[in-house]
Amino acid sequence: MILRIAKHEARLLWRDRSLMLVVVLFGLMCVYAIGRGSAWVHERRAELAPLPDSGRQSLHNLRERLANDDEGVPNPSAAHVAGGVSQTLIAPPGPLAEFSIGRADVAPDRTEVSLMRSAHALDDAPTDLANPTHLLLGVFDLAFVLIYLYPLVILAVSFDLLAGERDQGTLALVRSQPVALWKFLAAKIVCRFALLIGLLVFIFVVSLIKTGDGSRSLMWLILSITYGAFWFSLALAVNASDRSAAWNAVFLIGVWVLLVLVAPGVIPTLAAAIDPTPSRVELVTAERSAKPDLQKDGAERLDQFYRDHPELLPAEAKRVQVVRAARILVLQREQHAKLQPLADRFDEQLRRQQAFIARWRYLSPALLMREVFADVAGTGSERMREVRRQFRVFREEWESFFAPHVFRQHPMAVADYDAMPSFEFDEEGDDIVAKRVGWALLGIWVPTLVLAAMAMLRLRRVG
Amino acid sequence: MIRKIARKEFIEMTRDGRFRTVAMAVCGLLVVAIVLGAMHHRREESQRDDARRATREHWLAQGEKNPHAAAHFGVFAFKPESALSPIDRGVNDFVGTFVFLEAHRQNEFRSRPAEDSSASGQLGALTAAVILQFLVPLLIIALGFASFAGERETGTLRQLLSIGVSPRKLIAGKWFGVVAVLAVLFIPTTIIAAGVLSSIHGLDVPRCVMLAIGYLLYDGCFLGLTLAVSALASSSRMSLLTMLGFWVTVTLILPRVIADSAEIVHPLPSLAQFRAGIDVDLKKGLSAHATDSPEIVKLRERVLKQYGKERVEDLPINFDGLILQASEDSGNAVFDRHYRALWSIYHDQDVFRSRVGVFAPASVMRDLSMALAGTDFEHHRHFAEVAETYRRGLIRQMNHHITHHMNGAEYDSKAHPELWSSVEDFRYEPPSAVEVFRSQRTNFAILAGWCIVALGAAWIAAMRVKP
Amino acid sequence: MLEAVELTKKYGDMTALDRLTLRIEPGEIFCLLGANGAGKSTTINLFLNFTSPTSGRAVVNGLDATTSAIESKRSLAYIPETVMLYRNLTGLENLAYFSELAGHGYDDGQLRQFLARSGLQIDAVDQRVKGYSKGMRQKVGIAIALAKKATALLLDEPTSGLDPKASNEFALLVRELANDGAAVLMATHDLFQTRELSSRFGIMKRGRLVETRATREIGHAELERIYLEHMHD
Repeated sequence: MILRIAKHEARLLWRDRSLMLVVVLFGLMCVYAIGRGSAWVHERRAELAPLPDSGRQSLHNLRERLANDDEGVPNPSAAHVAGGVSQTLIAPPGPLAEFSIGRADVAPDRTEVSLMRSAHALDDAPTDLANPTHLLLGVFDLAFVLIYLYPLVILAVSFDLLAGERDQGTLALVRSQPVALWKFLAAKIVCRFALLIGLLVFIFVVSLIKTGDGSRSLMWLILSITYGAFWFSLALAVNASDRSAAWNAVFLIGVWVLLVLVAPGVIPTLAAAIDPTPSRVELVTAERSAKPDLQKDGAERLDQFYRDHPELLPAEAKRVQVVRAARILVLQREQHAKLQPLADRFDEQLRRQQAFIARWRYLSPALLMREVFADVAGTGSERMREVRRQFRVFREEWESFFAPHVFRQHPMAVADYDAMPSFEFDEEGDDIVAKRVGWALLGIWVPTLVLAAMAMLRLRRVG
Repeated sequence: MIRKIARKEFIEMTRDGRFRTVAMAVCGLLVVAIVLGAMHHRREESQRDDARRATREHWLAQGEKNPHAAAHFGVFAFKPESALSPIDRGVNDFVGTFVFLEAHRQNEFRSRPAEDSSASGQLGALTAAVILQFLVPLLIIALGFASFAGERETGTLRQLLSIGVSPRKLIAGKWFGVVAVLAVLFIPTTIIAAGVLSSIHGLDVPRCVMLAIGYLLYDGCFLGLTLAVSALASSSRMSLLTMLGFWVTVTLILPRVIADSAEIVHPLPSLAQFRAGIDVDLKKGLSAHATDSPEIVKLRERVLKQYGKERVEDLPINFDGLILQASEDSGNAVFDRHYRALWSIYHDQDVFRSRVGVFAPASVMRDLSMALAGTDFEHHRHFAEVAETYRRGLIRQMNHHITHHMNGAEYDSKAHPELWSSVEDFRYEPPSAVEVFRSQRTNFAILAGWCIVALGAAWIAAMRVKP
Repeated sequence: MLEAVELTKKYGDMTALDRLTLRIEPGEIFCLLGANGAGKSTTINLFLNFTSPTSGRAVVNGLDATTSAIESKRSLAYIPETVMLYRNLTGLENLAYFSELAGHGYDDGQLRQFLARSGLQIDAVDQRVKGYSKGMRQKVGIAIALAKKATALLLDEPTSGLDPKASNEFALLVRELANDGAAVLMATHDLFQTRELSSRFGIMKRGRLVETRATREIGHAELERIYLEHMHD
């Protein structure tokens, strides 16, 4: 019955130019947003792809020279020379980054690893040159359109389902027919939802073609449909309260403001107020404090000086260099040990802040969607921490590969070159993301069903 | 007459329980946002003050050391949190917090809060700016959308007009009624905010005043348009939908589209390209290590001639110091070229946004608010330039000492620790209110223009109001 | 069949309808007369379950209008004073929609037959209702009643605003429907049509049915006199 009514409603909807205009504009914005997101991701991928090349090339050259017994400067058999080649590690944007830029525009996605250069305790060099004002606004990506504008479209086409019929005058004739009011409204919603789902399915197909990632695309589709269901359910509940169209509109806009505009700002702000973001400023000062003790050591000062002015090295350069390298490694390890507790505390504070948000985001479907869309796209805060973690792990691997050679003053062989660790970023598994998606779906379906039930009870009573 | 109308509007609005709740909520949020912002500011500044003291202490406590080594040791410069950042955080989360000042390199700023905090982005954190730019216009729309259309529907409009009330007086009365309601809400809020902010060091009253004026123009624009639409719309529902559509377009959609267009019209290089460009030019330039390069040979000849000597060893000054400074100058020229080019692209983008922002007062308001609060990119660039000037001064001082006070000495000869204290501590003064006003003239003009147009629209609409 | 049994509706202290008891048999046309606010619309609203009675029952074809709201509407047709239809749909599409809501899925040909029987001009059937006159919209209303095979009909001021020709056409259709077996309750100010159409009439005053007469018994002048008498006090 509902479906048969829905067919007639579809005709009504089609003939209502203002409603169709809203839906068409929304479709255009989705297309524009996908275009922007894709352009951003394309540029970033193109920028990142060649970065590891120079490091790899240098290593390759050293290996070749070693294979040809070339003992010129720099010495390819010296472990500190090979390990000292600056490697650039990259973590390209996630699988569906075109749809949700998330934190990808500010998150570190590249880092340099070199044996002879101690990394800052926390990699904090900038990774892009974007205009900060544009970073502030964020990219006009599909996630933005779906989180902020999609609810408005849904509310615009369904705020006056009942009141509109009353204003038009057709409600009297409808109510004199043997059809339950809830079925009548449900048919209207089915009709409107079907139209929007059609658009979402189109986006799903585009996603499959562009990214080839079926499971993530499917997750995205299910999430978008769920989010839409929430807003339709809310609209139904408000319609069931049987007030004027203007009242409905004001109330629904109020709810939108609260859930989409205010809550996603308040909750993270509270998280930052309760568990303030750890201070990198403090960390960098501590880093400095850790150094001067070591710098008062004359030998170290000399080493630093030679490092900057290698042309001034005395003749027995090679041997001195090797000893120097060992000393540097030792110092770096000491420094690292001193600073690691600070870095760990930093990580822990950050984790607590994110845990707060993870717990309270269920209060706002919009905040929940923002986080989980980013997770599915591979641009969320979890993945950002994962990138940092993998960078750190590789750095340790690199150091522990070369350190024995340096300390034992053991020359490198071609086989050693072939056994060097190389970096490939491991994307988070779909199963891990799916679990997060599952919780988010639950967090949205529960209020959706509650609202729908409230609406049904009210409508059934009215008849 | 206008006063009577305004009074009736005021009473009607303030008696509405729902409106009271919403209005109090908005004011409450505003106060909370400012308080949280002030707390954040206090915390950040105290951390940075500690860091500034620490970096100065490290510098002074270097003991005996070669000045060039000290130049490598360097100092950190920590950007201050602007005094008005509790109101508008601006781009502070997206630009680095500090920069390392050392020899041979103009470094990039490090540590962008956005990378660590989840509360970043224009709509990612609750700040007073978001409330003032997004929520207050909505409140105004809610207050005013039914001012004419609602009265038309209940029939009271027809009665008023038939009594002989001039539509112009009517609209003026409604305008002042809404203004009175907003005043009752926001004057106490402003006083509380002023109280909270007064504890912040460096608060600049002229900037506060300009900020208030800017927001008043912005709100006035929304009020005028809402009243105009209410008078002309066929029903209160159409009035509401039209204004909501305008709000969504102007505050949410257009600013982002404008920013995107700015990026397309004035594209930026990638970070990799930028760094590579600098590296290439640096390699081509004068290096302190390439003692046989033609520039150094020329320099040597010139200096020898200047002092009338045949050999470098006979010079009364330390030639290596001159080489160091020459390479420093060569490097600085490269950095200047590249950074200026980069910053001019940012500037072009900002100007583009300002011009096209004629269509979106919200975009202009945002830029104006950030500029007045001292949290826009211009302020960051200003700090970067001051820090860079300090860096060059410090390095020059070190090289000068080598040149003139360490003649004939070995490379590793040390200078007396007094040298460190002869370098002044880094001090930063933000741009003055006058400077900021001058740079924001266009934005002020656009907002004022919109406000006038909105008022004009309301005036004209009043004449054509349908009973 | 339409029956009201001690039907009462109170809004707080105000009594809109006071113990109405009435029975309209199939084939009968009953005209309900009375001033504005006398309770005519309230009566119709109670039969339609647009509002629930404070006490008493409204019964449509043996079904209680409140407890069997949906069922009772299956063979009940309602034609309001202004028949408002969906402006962007044609007359035919409107009929199709409302018939669907009534539970009947007719094909194009059947729908056109109903419209023809209601007297709607053929060239108007496929025009959007936006341009319809009041009389045309009313005919669609009748077509809906026909499509529902209604055995009970509620009419609210049907002839107000119609010119005499249209008013006459309407009356003929109502007579046809009654002859087909429908019980008709018509709330009206139109004394002429009351005389022409109804078999019985009743006068409502301040929520009470104060007088019920068989129309045949009295002449037009007498009808007018009784009507005005009750209007006065």
